[in-house]
Amino acid sequence: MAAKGRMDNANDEDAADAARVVGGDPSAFDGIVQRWQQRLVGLAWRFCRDRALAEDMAQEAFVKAYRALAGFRGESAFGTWLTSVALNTYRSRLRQLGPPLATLDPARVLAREPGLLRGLEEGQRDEAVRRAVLTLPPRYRDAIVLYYFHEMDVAETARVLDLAEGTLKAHLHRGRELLKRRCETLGLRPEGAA
Amino acid sequence: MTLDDLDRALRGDEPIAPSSGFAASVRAAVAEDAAAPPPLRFPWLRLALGMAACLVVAAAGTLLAVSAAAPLAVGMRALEPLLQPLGYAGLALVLSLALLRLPVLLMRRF
Repeated sequence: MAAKGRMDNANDEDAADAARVVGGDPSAFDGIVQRWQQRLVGLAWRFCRDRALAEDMAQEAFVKAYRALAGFRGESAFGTWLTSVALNTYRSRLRQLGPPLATLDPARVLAREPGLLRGLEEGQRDEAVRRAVLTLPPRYRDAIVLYYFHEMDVAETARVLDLAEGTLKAHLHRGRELLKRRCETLGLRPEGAA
Repeated sequence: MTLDDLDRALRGDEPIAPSSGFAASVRAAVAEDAAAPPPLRFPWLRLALGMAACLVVAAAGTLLAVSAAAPLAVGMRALEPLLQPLGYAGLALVLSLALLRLPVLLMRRF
Protein backbone atom coordinates (compact mmCIF):
# COMPACT_ATOMS: atom_id res chain seq x y z
CA MET A 1 0.00 0.00 0.00
CA ALA A 2 2.80 2.41 0.96
CA ALA A 3 4.69 1.47 -2.21
CA LYS A 4 1.59 2.15 -4.32
CA GLY A 5 1.21 5.53 -2.62
CA ARG A 6 4.83 6.38 -3.46
CA MET A 7 4.27 5.33 -7.08
CA ASP A 8 1.11 7.46 -7.32
CA ASN A 9 3.00 10.46 -5.90
CA ALA A 10 5.87 9.92 -8.35
CA ASN A 11 3.37 9.61 -11.20
CA ASP A 12 1.71 12.87 -10.13
CA GLU A 13 5.08 14.61 -9.99
CA ASP A 14 6.01 13.23 -13.42
CA ALA A 15 2.69 14.34 -14.92
CA ALA A 16 3.10 17.81 -13.37
CA ASP A 17 6.70 18.13 -14.62
CA ALA A 18 5.67 16.90 -18.07
CA ALA A 19 2.91 19.51 -18.20
CA ARG A 20 5.40 22.25 -17.19
CA VAL A 21 7.86 21.17 -19.90
CA VAL A 22 5.14 21.15 -22.54
CA GLY A 23 4.03 24.54 -21.24
CA GLY A 24 7.47 25.99 -21.99
CA ASP A 25 9.57 25.36 -18.87
CA PRO A 26 12.38 22.97 -19.94
CA SER A 27 13.97 23.08 -16.47
CA ALA A 28 11.07 20.94 -15.19
CA PHE A 29 12.59 18.05 -17.12
CA ASP A 30 15.37 17.88 -14.49
CA GLY A 31 12.93 16.37 -12.00
CA ILE A 32 12.01 13.63 -14.47
CA VAL A 33 15.70 12.90 -15.10
CA GLN A 34 16.44 12.75 -11.37
CA ARG A 35 13.60 10.32 -10.70
CA TRP A 36 14.18 8.06 -13.71
CA GLN A 37 17.92 8.09 -14.41
CA GLN A 38 18.60 5.02 -12.30
CA ARG A 39 15.96 2.95 -14.08
CA LEU A 40 16.80 4.05 -17.61
CA VAL A 41 20.54 3.54 -17.15
CA GLY A 42 19.83 0.20 -15.42
CA LEU A 43 17.65 -0.97 -18.29
CA ALA A 44 20.19 0.13 -20.89
CA TRP A 45 22.91 -1.71 -18.97
CA ARG A 46 20.90 -4.92 -19.18
CA PHE A 47 20.73 -4.53 -22.95
CA CYS A 48 24.43 -3.91 -23.54
CA ARG A 49 26.47 -4.74 -20.35
CA ASP A 50 28.66 -1.70 -21.04
CA ARG A 51 28.46 1.28 -18.68
CA ALA A 52 29.54 4.00 -21.10
CA LEU A 53 27.22 2.73 -23.82
CA ALA A 54 24.37 2.31 -21.29
CA GLU A 55 24.67 5.95 -20.20
CA ASP A 56 24.87 7.10 -23.79
CA MET A 57 21.74 5.12 -24.72
CA ALA A 58 19.88 6.36 -21.63
CA GLN A 59 20.80 9.95 -22.46
CA GLU A 60 19.46 9.49 -25.98
CA ALA A 61 16.27 8.02 -24.50
CA PHE A 62 15.82 11.08 -22.27
CA VAL A 63 16.29 13.42 -25.23
CA LYS A 64 13.74 11.46 -27.26
CA ALA A 65 11.33 11.50 -24.31
CA TYR A 66 11.80 15.26 -24.01
CA ARG A 67 10.90 15.68 -27.68
CA ALA A 68 7.92 13.37 -27.38
CA LEU A 69 6.54 14.75 -24.09
CA ALA A 70 3.80 16.68 -25.88
CA GLY A 71 2.48 13.33 -27.08
CA PHE A 72 2.16 11.90 -23.57
CA ARG A 73 -1.57 11.87 -22.90
CA GLY A 74 -1.55 10.10 -19.56
CA GLU A 75 -3.35 7.06 -20.98
CA SER A 76 -0.70 4.86 -19.37
CA ALA A 77 1.47 5.45 -16.32
CA PHE A 78 4.33 7.85 -17.03
CA GLY A 79 6.84 5.11 -16.18
CA THR A 80 5.31 2.74 -18.73
CA TRP A 81 5.40 5.43 -21.40
CA LEU A 82 8.98 6.45 -20.60
CA THR A 83 10.16 2.83 -20.53
CA SER A 84 8.56 2.26 -23.94
CA VAL A 85 10.37 5.29 -25.35
CA ALA A 86 13.63 4.02 -23.84
CA LEU A 87 13.07 0.50 -25.13
CA ASN A 88 12.52 1.74 -28.68
CA THR A 89 15.65 3.87 -28.42
CA TYR A 90 17.72 0.94 -27.14
CA ARG A 91 16.40 -1.43 -29.80
CA SER A 92 17.22 1.05 -32.51
CA ARG A 93 20.74 1.60 -31.17
CA LEU A 94 21.34 -2.15 -30.80
CA ARG A 95 20.23 -2.66 -34.39
CA GLN A 96 22.74 -0.03 -35.50
CA LEU A 97 25.49 -1.70 -33.47
CA GLY A 98 24.79 -5.05 -35.08
CA PRO A 99 24.81 -8.45 -33.40
CA PRO A 100 26.36 -8.53 -29.92
CA LEU A 101 29.97 -9.53 -29.54
CA ALA A 102 30.64 -12.19 -32.15
CA THR A 103 32.57 -14.20 -29.59
CA LEU A 104 29.30 -14.77 -27.71
CA ASP A 105 27.75 -16.51 -30.66
CA PRO A 106 27.65 -20.11 -29.37
CA ALA A 107 28.07 -21.64 -32.80
CA ARG A 108 31.27 -19.67 -33.42
CA VAL A 109 32.63 -20.24 -29.94
CA LEU A 110 31.97 -23.95 -30.02
CA ALA A 111 33.41 -24.34 -33.45
CA ARG A 112 36.72 -23.43 -31.85
CA GLU A 113 36.39 -24.75 -28.31
CA PRO A 114 33.40 -26.79 -27.09
CA GLY A 115 32.48 -26.34 -23.41
CA LEU A 116 34.57 -23.20 -23.23
CA LEU A 117 32.72 -21.79 -20.23
CA ARG A 118 32.63 -24.97 -18.16
CA GLY A 119 34.06 -24.59 -14.68
CA LEU A 120 33.45 -20.86 -14.20
CA GLU A 121 32.82 -19.45 -10.72
CA GLU A 122 29.16 -18.88 -9.84
CA GLY A 123 29.30 -15.09 -10.35
CA GLN A 124 31.06 -15.43 -13.68
CA ARG A 125 28.60 -18.11 -14.74
CA ASP A 126 25.63 -15.88 -13.90
CA GLU A 127 27.18 -13.02 -15.83
CA ALA A 128 27.76 -15.34 -18.80
CA VAL A 129 24.06 -16.28 -18.68
CA ARG A 130 23.07 -12.58 -18.69
CA ARG A 131 25.33 -11.91 -21.65
CA ALA A 132 23.96 -14.95 -23.45
CA VAL A 133 20.49 -13.32 -23.25
CA LEU A 134 21.81 -10.59 -25.56
CA THR A 135 22.50 -13.14 -28.28
CA LEU A 136 18.84 -14.25 -28.43
CA PRO A 137 16.57 -13.06 -31.25
CA PRO A 138 15.32 -9.55 -30.31
CA ARG A 139 11.73 -10.53 -29.46
CA TYR A 140 12.93 -13.08 -26.88
CA ARG A 141 15.78 -10.87 -25.67
CA ASP A 142 13.42 -7.92 -25.05
CA ALA A 143 10.84 -10.08 -23.28
CA ILE A 144 13.40 -11.66 -20.96
CA VAL A 145 15.32 -8.46 -20.19
CA LEU A 146 12.15 -6.50 -19.38
CA TYR A 147 10.49 -9.31 -17.45
CA TYR A 148 13.40 -9.55 -15.02
CA PHE A 149 13.90 -5.78 -15.02
CA HIS A 150 10.26 -5.43 -13.88
CA GLU A 151 10.86 -8.07 -11.22
CA MET A 152 8.82 -10.66 -13.11
CA ASP A 153 5.70 -8.50 -13.44
CA VAL A 154 4.05 -9.96 -16.55
CA ALA A 155 1.34 -7.28 -16.81
CA GLU A 156 3.77 -4.33 -16.72
CA THR A 157 6.21 -6.05 -19.08
CA ALA A 158 3.39 -6.74 -21.54
CA ARG A 159 2.25 -3.11 -21.38
CA VAL A 160 5.74 -1.78 -22.12
CA LEU A 161 6.21 -4.23 -25.00
CA ASP A 162 2.65 -3.58 -26.21
CA LEU A 163 1.96 -7.32 -26.30
CA ALA A 164 -0.90 -9.45 -25.02
CA GLU A 165 0.08 -11.22 -21.80
CA GLY A 166 -0.35 -14.61 -23.48
CA THR A 167 2.03 -13.62 -26.27
CA LEU A 168 4.56 -12.36 -23.75
CA LYS A 169 4.37 -15.64 -21.81
CA ALA A 170 4.94 -17.56 -25.03
CA HIS A 171 7.98 -15.40 -25.83
CA LEU A 172 9.33 -15.90 -22.32
CA HIS A 173 8.86 -19.64 -22.51
CA ARG A 174 10.48 -19.96 -25.93
CA GLY A 175 13.25 -17.50 -25.04
CA ARG A 176 14.18 -19.28 -21.82
CA GLU A 177 14.24 -22.65 -23.57
CA LEU A 178 16.52 -21.20 -26.25
CA LEU A 179 18.71 -19.57 -23.60
CA LYS A 180 18.95 -22.82 -21.68
CA ARG A 181 20.09 -24.66 -24.79
CA ARG A 182 22.64 -21.96 -25.60
CA CYS A 183 24.01 -22.04 -22.07
CA GLU A 184 24.32 -25.82 -22.20
CA THR A 185 26.06 -25.57 -25.54
CA LEU A 186 28.50 -23.12 -23.99
CA GLY A 187 29.22 -25.64 -21.26
CA LEU A 188 27.54 -23.71 -18.45
CA ARG A 189 26.52 -26.11 -15.68
CA PRO A 190 24.71 -25.52 -12.39
CA GLU A 191 26.85 -25.33 -9.28
CA GLY A 192 28.06 -28.73 -8.15
CA ALA A 193 27.41 -30.46 -11.46
CA ALA A 194 30.27 -32.31 -13.09
CA MET B 1 21.49 -26.09 -16.47
CA THR B 2 17.83 -25.85 -15.40
CA LEU B 3 15.30 -23.06 -15.89
CA ASP B 4 15.58 -22.38 -12.15
CA ASP B 5 19.33 -21.76 -12.58
CA LEU B 6 18.54 -19.30 -15.36
CA ASP B 7 15.92 -17.58 -13.20
CA ARG B 8 18.38 -17.24 -10.35
CA ALA B 9 21.10 -15.83 -12.58
CA LEU B 10 18.76 -13.33 -14.24
CA ARG B 11 17.04 -12.26 -11.00
CA GLY B 12 20.39 -11.60 -9.35
CA ASP B 13 21.47 -8.96 -11.87
CA GLU B 14 22.59 -5.97 -9.79
CA PRO B 15 21.62 -2.60 -11.28
CA ILE B 16 24.35 -0.06 -11.95
CA ALA B 17 24.12 3.50 -10.65
CA PRO B 18 24.47 6.34 -13.16
CA SER B 19 27.77 8.21 -12.88
CA SER B 20 27.73 11.49 -10.96
CA GLY B 21 27.78 13.65 -14.08
CA PHE B 22 25.00 11.79 -15.87
CA ALA B 23 22.11 14.10 -14.96
CA ALA B 24 24.14 17.18 -15.92
CA SER B 25 25.08 15.55 -19.21
CA VAL B 26 21.40 14.81 -19.96
CA ARG B 27 20.49 18.39 -19.05
CA ALA B 28 23.10 19.70 -21.52
CA ALA B 29 21.92 17.31 -24.25
CA VAL B 30 18.29 18.34 -23.73
CA ALA B 31 19.19 22.04 -23.77
CA GLU B 32 21.16 21.53 -26.98
CA ASP B 33 18.24 19.66 -28.52
CA ALA B 34 15.79 22.36 -27.48
CA ALA B 35 18.00 25.04 -29.03
CA ALA B 36 18.46 23.14 -32.30
CA PRO B 37 16.32 24.14 -35.31
CA PRO B 38 13.33 21.90 -35.96
CA PRO B 39 14.18 18.79 -37.95
CA LEU B 40 13.57 18.73 -41.68
CA ARG B 41 10.13 17.56 -42.65
CA PHE B 42 9.82 14.10 -44.12
CA PRO B 43 9.90 14.38 -47.94
CA TRP B 44 6.45 12.93 -48.58
CA LEU B 45 6.28 14.40 -52.10
CA ARG B 46 9.53 12.73 -53.13
CA LEU B 47 8.39 9.49 -51.55
CA ALA B 48 5.10 9.64 -53.48
CA LEU B 49 6.94 10.31 -56.76
CA GLY B 50 9.35 7.46 -56.07
CA MET B 51 6.50 5.10 -55.24
CA ALA B 52 4.68 6.10 -58.42
CA ALA B 53 7.83 5.44 -60.45
CA CYS B 54 8.20 2.03 -58.80
CA LEU B 55 4.58 1.21 -59.64
CA VAL B 56 5.13 2.16 -63.29
CA VAL B 57 8.23 -0.06 -63.42
CA ALA B 58 6.40 -2.93 -61.73
CA ALA B 59 3.43 -2.58 -64.08
CA ALA B 60 5.77 -2.58 -67.08
CA GLY B 61 7.45 -5.72 -65.74
CA THR B 62 4.07 -7.40 -65.41
CA LEU B 63 3.10 -6.38 -68.95
CA LEU B 64 6.42 -7.72 -70.24
CA ALA B 65 5.80 -11.04 -68.55
CA VAL B 66 2.27 -11.17 -69.91
CA SER B 67 3.35 -10.17 -73.43
CA ALA B 68 5.91 -12.95 -73.45
CA ALA B 69 3.09 -15.42 -72.96
CA ALA B 70 0.49 -13.79 -75.24
CA PRO B 71 0.56 -11.04 -77.92
CA LEU B 72 -0.18 -7.50 -76.72
CA ALA B 73 -3.51 -5.84 -77.38
CA VAL B 74 -3.51 -3.35 -80.25
CA GLY B 75 -3.66 -0.30 -77.94
CA MET B 76 -0.61 -1.46 -75.96
CA ARG B 77 1.69 -2.07 -78.96
CA ALA B 78 2.97 1.53 -78.88
CA LEU B 79 4.49 0.76 -75.47
CA GLU B 80 6.33 -2.30 -76.71
CA PRO B 81 9.81 -0.68 -77.15
CA LEU B 82 9.68 0.56 -73.53
CA LEU B 83 8.55 -2.68 -71.99
CA GLN B 84 11.77 -4.62 -72.09
CA PRO B 85 14.06 -2.05 -70.40
CA LEU B 86 11.41 -1.18 -67.82
CA GLY B 87 10.76 -4.86 -67.20
CA TYR B 88 14.43 -5.54 -66.57
CA ALA B 89 14.59 -2.49 -64.30
CA GLY B 90 11.61 -3.82 -62.36
CA LEU B 91 13.18 -7.24 -62.07
CA ALA B 92 16.46 -5.68 -60.85
CA LEU B 93 14.52 -3.62 -58.29
CA VAL B 94 12.67 -6.64 -56.93
CA LEU B 95 15.87 -8.69 -56.75
CA SER B 96 17.71 -5.87 -54.96
CA LEU B 97 14.96 -5.53 -52.38
CA ALA B 98 14.89 -9.30 -51.85
CA LEU B 99 18.68 -9.40 -51.37
CA LEU B 100 18.50 -6.53 -48.88
CA ARG B 101 15.74 -8.23 -46.92
CA LEU B 102 17.19 -11.75 -46.88
CA PRO B 103 19.95 -11.18 -44.26
CA VAL B 104 17.46 -9.51 -41.90
CA LEU B 105 15.07 -12.45 -42.22
CA LEU B 106 17.89 -14.93 -41.64
CA MET B 107 19.10 -12.99 -38.56
CA ARG B 108 15.61 -13.06 -37.04
CA ARG B 109 15.23 -16.76 -37.67
CA PHE B 110 18.53 -17.88 -36.21
